[in-house]
Formats: sequence, structure tokens, C-alpha cells
Amino acid sequence: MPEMTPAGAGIGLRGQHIPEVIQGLPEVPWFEILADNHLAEGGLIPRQLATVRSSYPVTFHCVGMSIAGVDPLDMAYLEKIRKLVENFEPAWISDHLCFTQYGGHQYHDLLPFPYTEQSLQHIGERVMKIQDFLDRPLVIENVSTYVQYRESTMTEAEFLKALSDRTGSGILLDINNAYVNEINHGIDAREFIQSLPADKIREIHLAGYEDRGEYLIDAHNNRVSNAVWDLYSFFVQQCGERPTLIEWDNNIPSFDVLIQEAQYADRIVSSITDLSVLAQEVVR
Amino acid sequence: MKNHQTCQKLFSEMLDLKSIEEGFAAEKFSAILKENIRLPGLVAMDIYRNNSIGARQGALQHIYPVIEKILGERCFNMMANDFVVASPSLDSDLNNYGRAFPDFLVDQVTQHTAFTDFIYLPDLARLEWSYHAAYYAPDDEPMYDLSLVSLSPDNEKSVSLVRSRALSSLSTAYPVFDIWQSHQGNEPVKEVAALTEEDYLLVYRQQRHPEIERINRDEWIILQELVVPQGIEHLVDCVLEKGADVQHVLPGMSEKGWVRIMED
Repeated sequence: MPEMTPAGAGIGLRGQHIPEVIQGLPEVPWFEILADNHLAEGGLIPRQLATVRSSYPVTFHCVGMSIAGVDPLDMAYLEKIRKLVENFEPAWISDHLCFTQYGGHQYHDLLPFPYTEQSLQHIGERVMKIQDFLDRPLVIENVSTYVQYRESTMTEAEFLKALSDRTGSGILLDINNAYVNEINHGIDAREFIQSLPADKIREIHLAGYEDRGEYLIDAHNNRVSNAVWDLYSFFVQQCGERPTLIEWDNNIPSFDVLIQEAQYADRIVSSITDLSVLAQEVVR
Repeated sequence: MKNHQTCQKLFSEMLDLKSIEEGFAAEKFSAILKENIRLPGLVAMDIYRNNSIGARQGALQHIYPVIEKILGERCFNMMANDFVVASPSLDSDLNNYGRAFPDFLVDQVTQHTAFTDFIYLPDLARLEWSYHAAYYAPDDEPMYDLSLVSLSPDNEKSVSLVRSRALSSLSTAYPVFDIWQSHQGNEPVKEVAALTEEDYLLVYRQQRHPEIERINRDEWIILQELVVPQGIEHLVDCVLEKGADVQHVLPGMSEKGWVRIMED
């Protein structure tokens, strides 16, 4: 299996597009695999993934580690992830800064917690255990939230930075989530982006939200909005290029639409890079 | 100050409520949230509840598409919602959620007169679950390379028989296989005749895709016995008691890969 590092704008690969990708091998620089959709240990799913992996760099994105949870780590789940990692060698593995289970109940959603020193201590220990088990650093994503806790003593950006400092984990910056939080809670998205340690940001996520009038839902059911593209430009200007991913999970369109979105992300990066080169030449 | 665990406990209690308006927990939970005029606490919790319930409902829709076609989207969603609210998910892998839905349907069709004509739904749901399970099942381990026909009496004592891991078998008094077939694709649904005798069905995986096949009673009895691995002698004794003709049937089952030989 060739070792291939993601670069440019990739696509979150979903089940309905896999046959098309395997048959046509479209020009996509890399794919993010939603690992939770590939936990089957036999049958068609692992074979399809092997075929995809033989032609593309991949990363794994998870939703079930419950990084911030207080239940014991789900070692059976982590073992499945470890096997997937051994078999398919992703460039990195990511999951979210949230909890997904409590009291043995799985909620299959990304649930928020208060950002405190106590939770930082607890989550830091869990991240270290997961990283030891998987034998590699995690990349941890900021989440969109619909509530904020009174007792939080730090911002999500401060929390992510501190967690990264303590554990060596990387950061997956979801710019759509930052924008959803700006509208829902008034958290300035540019300030949030600038507060993150740029050198720790390994990957960018871009997705579409659902506008409910008073607030936004992080529904991944739309094209990336203009406001989020603007924030992406802002990030690239501030921090430079990073592997960037188009995520679309509901009302999934044809694969061509996803390619268009990825190409748009690439054009933004090119235009900013070209401008920057031009500016340097003018200065000289 | 609430600690990390208490906040998660309150949050999960809110998600497990049958209704978000159930006062006491909601009040307690609202007290730990920052005020947000744009997105009040209870509205926000409803988003999380809908996400959590929706994920599990989506899993049921994925696993039970024929049940949904028969009931219609609205009725299926109501039923799925009742099931989801009463049935927490206990596994990170959402593919494992919904195994108990057929049992839930038993209660529904026996308790509600509206379902008098749908008495077959639980068996149809079992068939759909088996189909789903066959798709996601682990591959079989490489097995002892010996055919049943060539087993000597000495060998027989040192091997066990086991079912393929992707295989399940069921018996039904209803024509659920025909009903299932008539709801594949977009063709108009054909009339299905009632059964005159018990139907025995096998769900297995061939070329990485699930298949459903009718089997005879003898094959069904053997497969039921092999839910756990059995020594050949023990298997023969058990199935003979039930009147199954193991000698003639077992070699064919082995050739098809339904039954495999495992070294003890």
C-alpha cells in the first residue's frame, strides 16, 4: 500500500459514491473515510475500502470515541478502529471534542461539556490513553454547539490549545462549526481561528449548514455558504494552506457537486497563494 | 460548581426524557446553561434530542426498508420513534442497533387492531435483520480442509461443525420471503399467496452479497442445532431425535459453505 499524504481539497467519501469512485477513479487528491461506516469485519465493505485505499491517500474520521466522556473508554470500538488503521494505514485519525455516551447509552451525536480545568485534566488523560492504544496522535475537531455552560472557564479555542499542548494531539479546524457557533452564541469565528495554534492545525473541514432563521444547524446538507468560504479565505491568508475536506452527510448530492466544492476550495488557495507571490515580487 | 460528570448526567437525562417538557430535569438542566435569547436551552436540547433520535431512526430505516414501504413513511416513523425512545443504543456501532425491533413489532401487531392484516410484520422484520446482519458479518475463518464425505470415524471425533458466520435461518407461517421479494425494486407490488405449510428460510452471504433462499425442514433443523458448534456425533443424535435426515442433507450443506468443519 503506497504511503500517501493528503494535500489540497479532498472529499468525505460516503457509501453511495464508493462504486463510482472505484469504477471511475476520479481526480480527487484524497478521501476522508468515516471510520464508523466501515467497522464491518467482512463482506463487501472492507474490500471496497481496500480498493479505494490502493489509489488514494485517506484519513479516518471517527464519531464514537467519546473523547470527553466519563464512561470507560469503549475498548471494543477502539480495537475495531485499531484494526482498520492497521489494515488501511490512514495518514491520521480524527474525532471530536465532545462526549457521545453516558451511563452505557450511546447518543450518536456530538454532545458538549463545560470547558474547565477539571474537564481538561480528565480529557487529557483519555486522549493519552487513546493515542497510546492507537499508537499515534489524534487530530481533534472543534464542534458546533447549541448550548453553552455557565461554568466554562475557558473558550473552546483555549481548551483545544491546552489539550494539544498536553497530549500532542493535532487540531482539525471545522470552519463551518466555527461559523455556526458565531451565529448561535456570538463567538467571533475569526477570533476563534486566530486563537488556535496554527502549527497544530492538520486539517480543515468545510460543510453546509441549515438556516433556521434564529439559529443555524450544523446539518451538512448544503453547499458551503459564502460566509464560510470567506472564513476559509481568512484562514488561508492567516495560516497558509492545509489539507481541506468537503463534508456532506445529508441530502447527499451527486459526486460532481462535491468535486465542484473541492475545486472551489483549491481555487481560493491558489488565488491567495498567487497574490502572496505577486506581493513579494512587488516588494522586491 | 457542577463537575464534569454531573453535567453529562444532566445532559443525558434530558436526552432520555420521553418529552422535553418534563419539568424537573429541564429546570435543573436550564440552570447550568448560559442564557441565550437566540437559542433558548429547551430549543437547543430539542435539537440534540432530534439528532440522537434521528440517528437511530435512520438506522432502522436502513435496516428495515420493506417494513417502511409496507407501513408508509409516516406510520413507520411513528413506530420507529416509539421504539427508539424506549430502546437506548448500547453500542458505538450503529449497525448493531435495532435487533429488537421485530420483538417490538410483535407487541404492536398484537395490541393494535389497526395491524390485524399485518400480523406477519415481525417475521418480515426478522428476515430484514438477518439480511442486514449477513451484509456486515465477519468473514469466516479459514477452516479445516476436509470434506464431510471423506471424514473417517477417527477424524469425526476431532472435528466440530459450525455455521458460516454470515448465515442465519428462520421459520415462518407467513409468506414473508415472497412479500420481501415483491417489494424489491420499483415494480408494482404483486399479490402474495398465503402459505399452506411452514416456510424455512436461509439468509447467507455469497460473493460478498446477502442472499435469501428457501430450505427444507431437515436443513433448517441442522442449522438451528449449529447456532453453537457441535461435534458430528452429537449433532447426528440431536437431529435424528427431531426426525431430520442428516446423512443425506449435511454433505450438500457443507459443499455450499453453509456448514463448515472446524478442528477441535
